[in-house]
Amino acid sequence: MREAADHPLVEARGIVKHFDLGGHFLQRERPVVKALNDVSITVRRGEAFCLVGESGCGKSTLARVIMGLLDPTDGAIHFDGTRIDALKHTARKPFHRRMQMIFQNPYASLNPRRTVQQTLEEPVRFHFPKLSDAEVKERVERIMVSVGNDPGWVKRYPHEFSGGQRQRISIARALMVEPDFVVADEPISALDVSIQAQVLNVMMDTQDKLDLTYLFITHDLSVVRHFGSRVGVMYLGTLCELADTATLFERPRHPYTRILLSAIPRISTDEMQPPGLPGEVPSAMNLPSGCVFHDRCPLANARCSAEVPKALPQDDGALVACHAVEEGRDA
Amino acid sequence: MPLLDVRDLVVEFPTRHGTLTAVDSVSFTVDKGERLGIVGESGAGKSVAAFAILNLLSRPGRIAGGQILFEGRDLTKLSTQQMRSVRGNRISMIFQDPMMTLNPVLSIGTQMIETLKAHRRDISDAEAKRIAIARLGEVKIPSPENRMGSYPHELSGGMRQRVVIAIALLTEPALIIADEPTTALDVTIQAEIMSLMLALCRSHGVGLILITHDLAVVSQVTQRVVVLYAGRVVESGATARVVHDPVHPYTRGLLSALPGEGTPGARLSQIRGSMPSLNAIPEGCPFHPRCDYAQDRCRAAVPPLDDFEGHRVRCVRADELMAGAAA
Repeated sequence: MREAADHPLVEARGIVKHFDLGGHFLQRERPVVKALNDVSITVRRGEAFCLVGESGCGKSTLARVIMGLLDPTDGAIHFDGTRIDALKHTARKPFHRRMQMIFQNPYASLNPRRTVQQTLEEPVRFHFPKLSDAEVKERVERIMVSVGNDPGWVKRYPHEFSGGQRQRISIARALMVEPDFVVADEPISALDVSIQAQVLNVMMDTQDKLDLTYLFITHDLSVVRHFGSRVGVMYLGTLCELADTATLFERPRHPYTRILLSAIPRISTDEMQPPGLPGEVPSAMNLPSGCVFHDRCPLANARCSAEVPKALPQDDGALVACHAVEEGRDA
Repeated sequence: MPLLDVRDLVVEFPTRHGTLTAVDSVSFTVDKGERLGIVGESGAGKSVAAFAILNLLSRPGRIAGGQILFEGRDLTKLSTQQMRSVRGNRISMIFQDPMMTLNPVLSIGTQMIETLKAHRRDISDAEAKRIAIARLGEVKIPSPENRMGSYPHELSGGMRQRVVIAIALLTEPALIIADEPTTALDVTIQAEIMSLMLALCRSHGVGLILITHDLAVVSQVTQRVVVLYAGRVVESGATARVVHDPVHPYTRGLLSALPGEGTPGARLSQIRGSMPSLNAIPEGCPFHPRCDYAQDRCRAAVPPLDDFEGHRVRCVRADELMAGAAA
């Protein structure tokens, strides 16, 4: 169904994003949050690329950098062959149309003073000023139907809808301008289970119908398994592992990925076990030396605390940034 | 005799637009040391039921009927003063957001010692401190002596929730009510906290009511489960039986909507529509407008909660569904 064509749609190369916290002018070292440290991903046309990781791992920051909502400190972003991160605002405008975003909280991302019609019309009128009123209206109806909403709802305001309906309106808003690439940042985390399934189904349907490419950000690995074509696992601003979804779940290699997978609750009568992850995520202001995971890793040795591991390709195409995997210490 | 016996609990919220019934004739029991899960989606009434047990309902909510029998007393009949000797003492509560529970301007140690002294007048400062440090150690907080002086903002979310659990255990309660204790936490921390709670409930012989929307967590932590929908119990029984052989169409729908259970890439089975709001609960079985098995009789009257050897199901077609005959 979702075969990824080989040529990339979005490429983020060596992205670094540091947030300067200012600090006091007498401080010798200004405090800096190192949110992303040399992260590279490639999203292929037609796929659903998932980014997973726990709070603070930098997955949302990476998405925002790709969307142009944040400027990268270093690195380059290419969209459909064009480098877009250095473009001026006007030159970037056509790319804004082709890249759209869906946010986590449908209660905060819809303007409460606007009807659904107004919310959906605005981006179309901005990006397609030549369309007639009738054409815009027709498009609103068509997109509302395609996300499973009743087109008769357009005169209503967001507060009249449930969470799932609102999130489908947010999806509709993203789809109004015929994007190629949609970034969805935790789009179902705020919703109830029965509603999550509705929204995921809508996202899968529209992907097939409209030929969309997704970058899907989530902390929920069971959703990734269901929805994703490939997965990038992030920890503390670095990419630990990148693999096809099936490969990642069958053969997780990076120690962090393994622990993360083992911690997913599942329908089972086996009692929940501690995940075997000592300590806590270190602060992004004071990153550990070498591999950022080394002080919590069961396989770490001296090399891990000295040398930053590179993401090395494995025999099945997965990329793993781990000295232990490279040296075969993980067996 | 069960530790907690909730019988036909009704909680109402009188409003300008009429009285809303958030919890409607809900009954369940918790034995000593038993772990019970209460599952439901937003608006199912699971938190309201828990708040009612501790008499923490915010106005205008009120208990309009039923009994809450705990250690031989009906909690609905206790005075505010008497309730204080139960709440936080014999029954502790853990909330979703530890930042809301912990006082941001008091150190962890002060809060713990204060809690102990509020419930045990005769305790000395030194003794209270000793107990507090011991509890912090039990929830696996590294170097608990030093942590006593820390303030909540200095701790991570997972550590804060550990402190909350330590406080809940201070008075050696018989029952802990945990309302979505790990929903705000990452999966690895969730696994850490839930396995810790499991171990502590077992070692202290404490009963647990775990309120959550997450059936997977419930299946791995609890022994029995109650599924709520629109304020009513729709299914209850041994957790293993309910999650592996659910009968009520709502429970079945919830379980099959979980993305982990199906074939990757396939459409997820979904429950159509959404939970009714409390001022528009449908006539008859409240689930019938969303149910694939609904018949005319489902619209006529609320079905009884039928008992099948301890597995209770509120559905007129439960027999057929169990036999796999219903279509």
